[in-house]
Amino acid sequence: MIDPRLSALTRHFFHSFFRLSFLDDAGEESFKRGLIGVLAVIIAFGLLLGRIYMAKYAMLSSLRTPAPFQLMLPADQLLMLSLPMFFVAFVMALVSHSVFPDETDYWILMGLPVPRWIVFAAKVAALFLFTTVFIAAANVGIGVPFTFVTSGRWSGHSFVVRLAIQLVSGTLASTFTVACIIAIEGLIVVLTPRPWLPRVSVVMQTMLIAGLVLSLPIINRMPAFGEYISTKPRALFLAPPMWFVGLQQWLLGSDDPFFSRLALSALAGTLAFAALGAGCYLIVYRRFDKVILRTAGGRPPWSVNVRIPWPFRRHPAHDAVQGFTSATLRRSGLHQLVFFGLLTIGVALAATSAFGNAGDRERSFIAALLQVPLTLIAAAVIGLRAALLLPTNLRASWIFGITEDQATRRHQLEAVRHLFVGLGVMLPVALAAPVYVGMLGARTALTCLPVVVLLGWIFVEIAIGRWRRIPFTCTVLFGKRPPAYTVLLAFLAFGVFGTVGTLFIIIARSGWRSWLVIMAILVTIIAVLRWQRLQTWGRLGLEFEDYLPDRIETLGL
Amino acid sequence: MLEARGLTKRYQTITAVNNVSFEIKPGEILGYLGPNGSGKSTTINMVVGLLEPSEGSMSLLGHRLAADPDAYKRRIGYVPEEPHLYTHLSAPEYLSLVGGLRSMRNPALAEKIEKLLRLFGLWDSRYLAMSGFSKGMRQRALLSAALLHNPDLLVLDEPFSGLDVSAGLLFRTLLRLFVRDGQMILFSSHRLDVVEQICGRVVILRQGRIVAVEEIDRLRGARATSPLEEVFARVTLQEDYTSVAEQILEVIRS
Repeated sequence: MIDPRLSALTRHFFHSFFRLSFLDDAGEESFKRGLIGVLAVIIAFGLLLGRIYMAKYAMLSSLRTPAPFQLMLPADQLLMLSLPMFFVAFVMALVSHSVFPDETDYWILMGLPVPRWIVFAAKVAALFLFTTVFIAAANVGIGVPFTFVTSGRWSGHSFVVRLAIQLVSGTLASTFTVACIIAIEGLIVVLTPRPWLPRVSVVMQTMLIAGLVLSLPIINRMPAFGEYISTKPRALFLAPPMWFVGLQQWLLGSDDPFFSRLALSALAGTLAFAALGAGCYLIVYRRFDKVILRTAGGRPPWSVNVRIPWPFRRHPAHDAVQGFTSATLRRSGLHQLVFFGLLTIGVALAATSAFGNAGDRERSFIAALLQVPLTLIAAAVIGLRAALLLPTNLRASWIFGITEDQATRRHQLEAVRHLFVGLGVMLPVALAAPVYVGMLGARTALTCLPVVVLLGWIFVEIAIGRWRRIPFTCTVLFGKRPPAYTVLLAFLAFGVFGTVGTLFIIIARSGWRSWLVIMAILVTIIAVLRWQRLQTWGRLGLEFEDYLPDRIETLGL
Repeated sequence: MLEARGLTKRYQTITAVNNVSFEIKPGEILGYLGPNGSGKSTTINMVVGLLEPSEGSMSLLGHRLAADPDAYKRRIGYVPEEPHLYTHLSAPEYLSLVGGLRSMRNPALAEKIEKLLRLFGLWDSRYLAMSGFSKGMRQRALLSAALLHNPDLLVLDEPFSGLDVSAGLLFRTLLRLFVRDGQMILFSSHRLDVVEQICGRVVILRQGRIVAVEEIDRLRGARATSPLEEVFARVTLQEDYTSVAEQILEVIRS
């Protein structure tokens, strides 16, 4: 008989993994729908992969010798194990701050007649259920179609045996990922001084997401690793997904000592991280009050408020919104995560594009290099926009409602625009400048970077043309538009901005006359967009509610 | 003067506030009372301009909310019932934000913030994010923010919740002195002892309607000599508390 307190708390903890405290009821509902959509996307993605690999394995199975089949299979197995690992790691990184009972749990639950072991057991049980959902979805969604399409005369075993082995290896690989993240978070909780804990936790979460995004180009190239794997290099022992390919091969009956050693690494690694995570849990369990409770006094790490000095006098409302926005961005893990996560996607795309063209003709390579800052700008602006749309402490936004004033509204919105120019344009330009100087020379950098800045400015003008919000103060509805539409829009923005922008840069660097003409065109476009924006900028009231796209706007007559 | 005329708020089929009218004269503290769910917070949200009334109008010192909301809102300071503020900010940061939104300029703003925080006993905690504040400290931060621009009308919704005895005494004295030069306070509270001490008049609300608007002394006089607590119970038609308390005990012990 399960203790009713245990089952009630397990349910509570399980649901809180899906809950984002900053959303209102409608937002939470749409977030849940979004998560269900993600699960559907995984299954659809698995089916798509199956379709892609069907022709390849049909061809390999039709060959007279098994060598090509055996050469390709480990590389594809590596991809099929890495994808669920990536997906599970991504979800775990998002919820990493709640894998241990926290201060709120302490204050609420320790006052009730609930023993500490029930709180911890419930948290572990909820975590187990939560990870099981995603591990199962990822491995079944990807593993089943892959096993099906790799069936053929060279596959060696029956479909059922290979599927069982695929699922065991995939589940163990995903479990390893979960154990790693619990261990990392556990070490942070146990070892970090109390006043630093929230910041360190946020930085680690952002780094995890950034690392995962940056691994995407490598995952993308995995199917081409067949020959490299066949040389059995020692470097593969540094790549955990490869350990589980070794385990899979070993379970399939391979007697190659290389795969056996990799399999051993998989088991040892999983056990080691699981033990580390369990150890941290044990420490937090035994010293819950000392480990979890923060010291109230002292000067916390964020006491110094860095402000960029500005020589011109600005309206106080501008400074107020700018200070509020920068403080929130610096202190909110979620907002940093969204911004840096999307910026990292830009870095990954830029790197893939540049390295992908490295072997091509010089012209293609230079075009790819010239496009780097544009990709970064597009990612940064989209990321910043997404971050500023996410609310923080919605109930506190009454202060903006009560102080809303026609005279100051424009200054408040100007603060938002300046933030977009600073973080969305100047930061990516600063990141890309060394690439330009190093790869294309200082002169090219000096010629092209002003063009890039103006192009970025245009992108910002388009992105905030209808912006009527103080950052973080409006409710948000996820999935307001169909996800496919949003993704398509983002890719379109990336594609058009990258392609047309690169064309402008190429023309601008062909001579000083061309440079002047391009600069004049861009300045004119900015002037037109700015004029258009100022027609409504600050004149209409601020928005504090997110609306569905089919909402009927009344005339208010 | 603040004038509220025929304020009504409807949510689909529910009428939360029905034809409520009152005024606050310069130098007056008006108590605004009513049981839970009587429409107090809805009225206050309409008075401060956070909620649009379905019917009715409001004007403050001749500025009508519907015609010139900016001029109206500039003259109001507000302390909400729950201490909803941006807890990731420190108290000086929050006050700077509010001051900036009220178009107050530095260095005068910074100087005022420092003085207010020192007087409200929050200066030593100036580096702490307000997430680490007690409810009383948050309440003090909110009152500092509401007073920062020296409003003509101060709207207080349960301002004493979470305050310790000395802070409560300070607040009471401060409110009495605040109205001395003609400023006004709309004071909503369940603390009838405090209302009795500092308010000149009270408006009592029940099920969205005003059931009494009187000076406290006259209200007391009209209903024999019972204290405000009993008058309140009578006009809002509350149940017999002893009987309800006994029923609760019965349920607990069953």
